[in-house]
Amino acid sequence: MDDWVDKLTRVGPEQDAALVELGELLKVRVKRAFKSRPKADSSFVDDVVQDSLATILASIRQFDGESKFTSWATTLAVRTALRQMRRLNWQDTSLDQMLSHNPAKVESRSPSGSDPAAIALSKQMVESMYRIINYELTDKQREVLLAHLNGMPQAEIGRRMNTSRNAVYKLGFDARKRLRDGLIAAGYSAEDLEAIKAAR
Amino acid sequence: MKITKEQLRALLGFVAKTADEEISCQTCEDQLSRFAEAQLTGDGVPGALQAIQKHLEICPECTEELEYICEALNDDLCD
Ligand SMILES: [Zn+2]
Repeated sequence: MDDWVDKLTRVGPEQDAALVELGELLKVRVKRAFKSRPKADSSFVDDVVQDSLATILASIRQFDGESKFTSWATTLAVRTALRQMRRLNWQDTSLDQMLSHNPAKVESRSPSGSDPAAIALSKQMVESMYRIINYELTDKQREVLLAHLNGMPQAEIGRRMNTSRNAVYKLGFDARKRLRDGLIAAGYSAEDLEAIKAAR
Repeated sequence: MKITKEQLRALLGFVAKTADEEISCQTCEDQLSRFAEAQLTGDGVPGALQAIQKHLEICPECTEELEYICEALNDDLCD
């Protein structure tokens, strides 16, 4: 397996030394990955690394040896940092602020003739999408979909809906499937959808 | 609730890529370190990780995570 696992699971000075070494490596890596984010100052990085080391020790048996141990540990640290960053960025936003109870409304006028992507996204298709979003999705599916469209991360949606991130993912997935099936039922083919994807 | 055209177009892109079966973020996360290593060493995506590739196409969050992981691992796996 890995030398790291050996050292980190042996209680005593060897484990302490390995934790210090791993912590230093993670600090350098987290700092580099988040260098463009102003909120990622050194106290943020220190906190993330402390939390990550605890997570790594607690879940070390889940390391399957498919990657380097340090890659796995770095992945956990980056994930911890991203979650905290997302939480900070969204802490002042409520779901209600983002979603009103009115039906979704189209913001722009009919597509202009010069933009190929706008042509692909025809007025009829836009109307079909709004009909499906407003009348064929469940309230929860619609909430998740609209929050997603506004960029709110799944964990943050889950926190506000008192549900797990996995459940949020499932709601979003079901909403996308309903939209896809609804558009196909409205006469759009899988090829139409592909063409629109390509026109983006 | 207003949806901009840009949002609608992005949504259509995701809808077009929606399959009947998808892996969850959790499953994707379990494989991301391996996936990042494969990307950084230029080995290409092994067959076993194709489902991850598909998930990344419809999941901006896991994609963002992968970008940060690759940046973090950049000292180690590029040489
Ligand atoms: Zn994901």
